[in-house]
Amino acid sequence: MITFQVERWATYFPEAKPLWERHWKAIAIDKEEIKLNVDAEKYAAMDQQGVLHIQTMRSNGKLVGYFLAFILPNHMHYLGAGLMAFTDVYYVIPEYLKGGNGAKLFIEAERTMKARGVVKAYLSCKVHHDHSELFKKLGWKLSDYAFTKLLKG
Amino acid sequence: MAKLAQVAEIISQETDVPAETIKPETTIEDLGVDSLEFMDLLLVIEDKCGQVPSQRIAHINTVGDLLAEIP
Repeated sequence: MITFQVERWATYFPEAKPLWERHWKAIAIDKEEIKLNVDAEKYAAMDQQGVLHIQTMRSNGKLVGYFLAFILPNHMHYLGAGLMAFTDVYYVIPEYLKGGNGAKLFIEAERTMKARGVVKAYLSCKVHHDHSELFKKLGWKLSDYAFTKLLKG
Repeated sequence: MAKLAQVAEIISQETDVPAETIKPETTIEDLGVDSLEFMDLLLVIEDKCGQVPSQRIAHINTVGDLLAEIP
């Protein structure tokens, strides 16, 4: 049985660590130049400060997906506008994507962020893992294009 | 049972799964839909049968769960 819940970093990350590796291998770009090296202490500190939102997806208790967002209490452009969420990372083990589980993860993340007081959320996807049709179907509005460029070497 | 027949017919049209094989215990995974197809299916069902509360969508694991959320 698939369940969705909000969790804390301390319970989430020990189990999530191998998934982050798998996730990075599957979708990251520039892997040769920039290696995965998660600053777990920084995340833990952010969680303690209340600026991290962790939505998990579990199958019979086993972690099979996650959605993380940074919660900015005071966006410097929009003081007083309310909490804003910036999606950090999301992933579902491919074997668990059937049955609309990916959509459900985003629906739950949105619902729980809203319940937390978030008034606006930002979300993106990789060009080579394009979920834009799903996001539109879920009511998200296309507002930005993002670009990256390696400046080292 | 009428609601099951109606929903099974909609699901069958959207997924090609034969309506007569769709039971309350049929899981959404059994229907073979991905996230986009699941949302399409949900939109068609909501259009014809009524709104499913958004806070309940993630808890729909079976056709029976779906039936329970339809007004």
